[in-house]
Amino acid sequence: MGNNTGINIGLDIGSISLKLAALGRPADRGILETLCAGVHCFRMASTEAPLVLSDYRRIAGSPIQSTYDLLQEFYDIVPEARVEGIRVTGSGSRTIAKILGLYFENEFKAMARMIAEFYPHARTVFEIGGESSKYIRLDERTILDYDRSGECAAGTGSFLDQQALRMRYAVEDVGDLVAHAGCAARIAGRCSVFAKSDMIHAQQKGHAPAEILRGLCDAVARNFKSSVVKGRPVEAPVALVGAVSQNAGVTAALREAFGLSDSQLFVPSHYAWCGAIGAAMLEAEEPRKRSLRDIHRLNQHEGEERVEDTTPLSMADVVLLRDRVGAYQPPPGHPDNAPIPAYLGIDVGSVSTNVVAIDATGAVIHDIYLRTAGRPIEAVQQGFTELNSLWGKRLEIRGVGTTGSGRELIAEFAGADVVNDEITAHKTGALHVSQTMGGEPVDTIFEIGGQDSKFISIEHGVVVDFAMNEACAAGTGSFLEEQAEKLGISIKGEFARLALAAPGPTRLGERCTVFMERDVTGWLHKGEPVPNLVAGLAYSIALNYLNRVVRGRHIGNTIYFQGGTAYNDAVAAAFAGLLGKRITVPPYNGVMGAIGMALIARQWHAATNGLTRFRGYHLDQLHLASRDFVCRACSNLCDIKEFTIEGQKSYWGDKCSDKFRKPSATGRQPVIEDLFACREKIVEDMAAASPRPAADGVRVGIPRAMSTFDRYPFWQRYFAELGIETTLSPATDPRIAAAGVEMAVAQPCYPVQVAHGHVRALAEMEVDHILVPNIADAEADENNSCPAHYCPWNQTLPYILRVAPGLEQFQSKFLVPTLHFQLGPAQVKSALAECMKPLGVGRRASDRAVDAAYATQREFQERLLALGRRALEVLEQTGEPGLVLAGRGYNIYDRGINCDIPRKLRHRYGANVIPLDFLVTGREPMAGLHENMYWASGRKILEAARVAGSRANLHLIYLSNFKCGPDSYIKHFARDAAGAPLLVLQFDGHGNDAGYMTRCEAYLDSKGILRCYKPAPPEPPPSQAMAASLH
Amino acid sequence: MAYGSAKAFAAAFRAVGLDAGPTPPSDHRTRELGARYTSGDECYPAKVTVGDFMKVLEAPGNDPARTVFFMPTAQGPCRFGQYSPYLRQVLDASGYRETMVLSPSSNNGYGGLGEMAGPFMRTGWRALLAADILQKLLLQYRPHELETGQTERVYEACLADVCSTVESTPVKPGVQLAAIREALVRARDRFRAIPGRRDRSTPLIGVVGEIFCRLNTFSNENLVRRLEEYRAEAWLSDIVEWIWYTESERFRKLKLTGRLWTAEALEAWVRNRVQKRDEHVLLEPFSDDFVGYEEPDIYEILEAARPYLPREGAFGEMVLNVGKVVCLARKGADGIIDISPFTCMNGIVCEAIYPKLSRDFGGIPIRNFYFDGTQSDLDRDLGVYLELARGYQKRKQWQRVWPKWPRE
Repeated sequence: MGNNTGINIGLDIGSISLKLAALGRPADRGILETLCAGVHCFRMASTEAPLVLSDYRRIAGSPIQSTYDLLQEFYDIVPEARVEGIRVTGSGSRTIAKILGLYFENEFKAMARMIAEFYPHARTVFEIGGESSKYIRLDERTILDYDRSGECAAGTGSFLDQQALRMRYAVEDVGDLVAHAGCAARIAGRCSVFAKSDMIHAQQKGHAPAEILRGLCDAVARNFKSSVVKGRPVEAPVALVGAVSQNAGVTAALREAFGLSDSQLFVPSHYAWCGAIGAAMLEAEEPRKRSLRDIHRLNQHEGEERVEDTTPLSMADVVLLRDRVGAYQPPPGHPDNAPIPAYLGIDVGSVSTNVVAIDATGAVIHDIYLRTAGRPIEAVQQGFTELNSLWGKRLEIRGVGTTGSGRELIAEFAGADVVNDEITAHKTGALHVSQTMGGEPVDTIFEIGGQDSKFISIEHGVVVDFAMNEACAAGTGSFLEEQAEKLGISIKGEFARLALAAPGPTRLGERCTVFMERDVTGWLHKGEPVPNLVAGLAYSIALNYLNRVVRGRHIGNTIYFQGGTAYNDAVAAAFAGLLGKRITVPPYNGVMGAIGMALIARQWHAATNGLTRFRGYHLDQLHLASRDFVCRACSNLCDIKEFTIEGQKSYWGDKCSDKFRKPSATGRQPVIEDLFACREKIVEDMAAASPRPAADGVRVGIPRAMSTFDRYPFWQRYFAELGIETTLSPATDPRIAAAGVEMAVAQPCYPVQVAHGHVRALAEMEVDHILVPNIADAEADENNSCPAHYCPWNQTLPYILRVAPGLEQFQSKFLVPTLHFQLGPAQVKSALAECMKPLGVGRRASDRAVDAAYATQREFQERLLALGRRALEVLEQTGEPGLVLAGRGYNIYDRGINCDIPRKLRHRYGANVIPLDFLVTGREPMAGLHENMYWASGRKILEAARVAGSRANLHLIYLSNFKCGPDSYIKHFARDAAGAPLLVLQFDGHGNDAGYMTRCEAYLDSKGILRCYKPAPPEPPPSQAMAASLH
Repeated sequence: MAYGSAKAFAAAFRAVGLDAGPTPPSDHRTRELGARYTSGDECYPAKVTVGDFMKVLEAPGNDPARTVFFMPTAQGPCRFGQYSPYLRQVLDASGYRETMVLSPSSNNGYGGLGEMAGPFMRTGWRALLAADILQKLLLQYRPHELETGQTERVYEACLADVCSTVESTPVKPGVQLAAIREALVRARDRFRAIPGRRDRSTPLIGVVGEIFCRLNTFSNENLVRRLEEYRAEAWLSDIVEWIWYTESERFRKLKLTGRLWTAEALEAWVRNRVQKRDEHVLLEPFSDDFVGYEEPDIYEILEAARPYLPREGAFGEMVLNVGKVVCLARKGADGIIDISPFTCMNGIVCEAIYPKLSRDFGGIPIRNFYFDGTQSDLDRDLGVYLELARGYQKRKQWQRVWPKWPRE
């Protein structure tokens, strides 16, 4: 072949799409022009050195077939002899390379090659593609540095796609829409699962879709910056490529996040074809061509031999009660024209909104299952309209109950009488069904909804244990839906049909939703048959649920599987197969929560004989106004939405909602003091009692982060004794938190990230020094040889901070004493004296200050303990229940981390909240609890758990955060120490509190703390109406 | 533990009369069981270990009452020390109360094995030394072999030789040491005989990280092997390094608490000398082979880490990793890969330090690879990573020293 002809093809086979680039020599122009004229999916991108590009083509689950089709279309016009070589690249190309005997090119290299040729001035490449993101720093053709999205992939193209679709927008429209958004809803950026839940909660709090989409674009940009670029240099010009580059919302957000102008961040016209073009170029430059075989091999390919199969799914052990329910009949003897007394239950969830009406016997009159689609108010309205048109005149509504993550918003709109968490609602519904349908009373509920999964264990009608998915959506309904959509099959019917017929379900294992998505893509690329994958997904959901939600809890023998996912018979079959137990899918499985709420509304009515607040079916006729504003009551600056419904104002907002606090949801009032307020007061008083510092002396900044929450009195006093003024960084606010997340290099826990922000804030306040102690350990009991370490992230915080971009330049200001509190004051004195020497502080002065600081810290601790003892006495005398909060100081006291949950527990539910440092010091002997608890925090937490377990009226809530290493173990031991199930709340920079509050409510309800009216009246005898309606 | 180390260590148990064997190779069942008995937030090594142990228990014919699991422990600050108590909790909750967990601790330099402690500790130490040496040979020869698979076959044969030597030689210290040394000399000669083609442009990649994950090929998806497929050579941090660290930590703590002049310290010092001598005797036959491959002394590593993570204020693998990276960079490594479990606290601290360290060493490429058993495109990442390493190789300031290859 001469130098004048010879086409080289580059194929970029991604996880979602397929792109082809054909690079010819001048003499190939003719044939390539014929190709473009003849086949509409090819176009000429450049004529000089002729370059043909294919359309951006989605592979819809069958990469091999799609590749075959595309090449076939190409070869229909271009004779194979004209093609010199083919090179493939992209995440899905390896199998195809193997089948065709082609060279497989690294994506980074391909992309770098193309950019160097077409945009030689570009110094940085950002790629945000379907399932992964990349960062490349270039110097012409040399790759200087690179990175890609990590194991915790977030903010990718397919995620944006799904979310836009979820909100009924085409992803192409997002850019325009976002441009007109007034504000951005705050969406967590780290993990797409969390971001998704944030979006759902924002929807339910009434944010407009445009605001949410804009928040999403911001999150994608923020995430790209923190988890892909990770503080590496971003030299302009930056080429933004990949499918997401077409989203103007993300482009704008990226420019803002990196401080780049329009010209500094540009989108190349071949934004999606960089890999394909680069691969074609590299192939053209390669002197040794691989011999090309027929592309037919792709067609004959039958998938690789598979490693492991699982058993086919079977319905043998699944009981479908839904087949046994017929249309509603009024109770026998009910006069035809008389109105039927009825109760409404409404469950507003992330994916579905359900409305149910029951009669006085508990029989279901009508049930409606609707998509929430980001518009909860409209969904409820639609349900009401349907109910009204079918039953409106015949029903006399006597009570209304709401549940689900949008329960409070809808309660205001609809005029609900009772509002409950989902767990209580589901339990009530399931129990009723099992009683009325005559079988064994249900003792175990598997509930899998759109975003939330729940496990409920019931004994004698009482919830004895329950769990929800902790900040993790693995194995939820929307995951199945998204995967089904990706595979091009319908979740309704088709999914289960394919899955149940699959001969060998793929072993996908259990894992995070995001990873699973990638796995499925991987299997597809390897040619796995779709039915096996679908069956594998059914197993995965069940496994995820069992391993992440149930987690070894006791599973009974009458298992109800409910929630929207229970419509999918394949998942029920998977449960039955995995557990070897019978699985019952109750009737109305998708609306069980709404049934439960209708029943609770009936209880309410029976107990109080109250008049319902129901506003009627016509929500659209209500006088409704809303406005957005920012609450400036504190530095959190929450977005608040004010709704005026019939002249009545109600507020919905993020975080603390301090100023607009919702009225107490229970009639309960706390009987103990507000210990949080007391603690703040003590700190203030003690500071006021310290010596006054010199007016114009040096200032030492103390970050209000990490160990400061425990040791502030110590430090305040130490410096005051030396005549040095101390400045605390401000309370964590969104600005500090965002700065911290951005600066943190790796991905430590959220509190460590936030600490970066605090140090930065102090540097900006121009303090002379910043205290970032290297604290190795804490005080422990004297007779114990076990260490009392701080966790490694606490210990090394100063070393991390001093190399973080954005803080490195301030490291000369850092005061970094290495302290072993466990060794006692002598070590602390010598370390601090050494640290303070450069500031001109003498050894004796420092030692005296240390003594005073110790005394202050001791006094602080004793005052807390005294308050704690008093609180326990009051609880003892009144018989009221109390909540012990276990966790690290920063999780309990930093409102920017914990969504202010601790104080909401008190103010909203009237709970008597006692944080652990009012009860224990961490110096108690650990005998009998744990032989090797070498973390100071763990010692305190286990001790507090033991205190909570020692009194019947104390209950335990454990505040933790995502990625906390120690807590991943301590939580297991805390349960043993408490001798009872505890509630674990895992925080992760989530702005919205709804999910946490649900868990709290259900926990409080299960402990009998929540409801203000008398316990439920005894169930009426089994509903004859329902029995009658059985086939 | 590394495959070879686990085998050799089990042989050491058998040498003192205890029937021991490594857990069967990890597989998908390991992951399934691991996931069932953990909540998903624990470290990946715990998941794999718990999964492997539970797999042993569920194997047909296994008698839980006669099963003892060997699970070393530590006193923090990382999570490793919680594996053993957690395993205990899982066993109790699953009805295996009678199954024992044997947990020597790093706090006492992994002593505390009862009366057989003395002979076993010494035998175990020598077994681990020998296994590390074999692994070093494997990594040194395999990338250059002419016939694929030959080095591995040699390695297996040598490992079997070392294991049977450890098991069958009397535990009398002098006799045992000489026998193991002879086995290693045999191994050396076998490796030297492997035909290979040396290429001095082969990039050398230092591999550090969390000890379990970096050494367990199941957990790290055989990263080292894949590096070799991309025509690179790996220098993998060994097990002995960790043991030297725990020893040195013991002295640091004695000093910190003012107990440096006590009988306890003396005993530790004597043991340290004895172990050092064993190491010297076993390494001595390799003085030609390991030119340019000398493992830095633990104090050299700790001093190298000091500007980033001083050992007085940072503890455990993170200090070793950072220090070792510095040592390897000075020895002319072309890149560093850190293998850690996903969410590993050590790994994340290191990852935060590495950019600065890289800047200090002429931009040596350092990468963290996290593992949690999920599928990832490791090949793609290694492919582009080696581009960086090759780029650095051309401009690096620190050159390698080469041994004289037997068949260069």
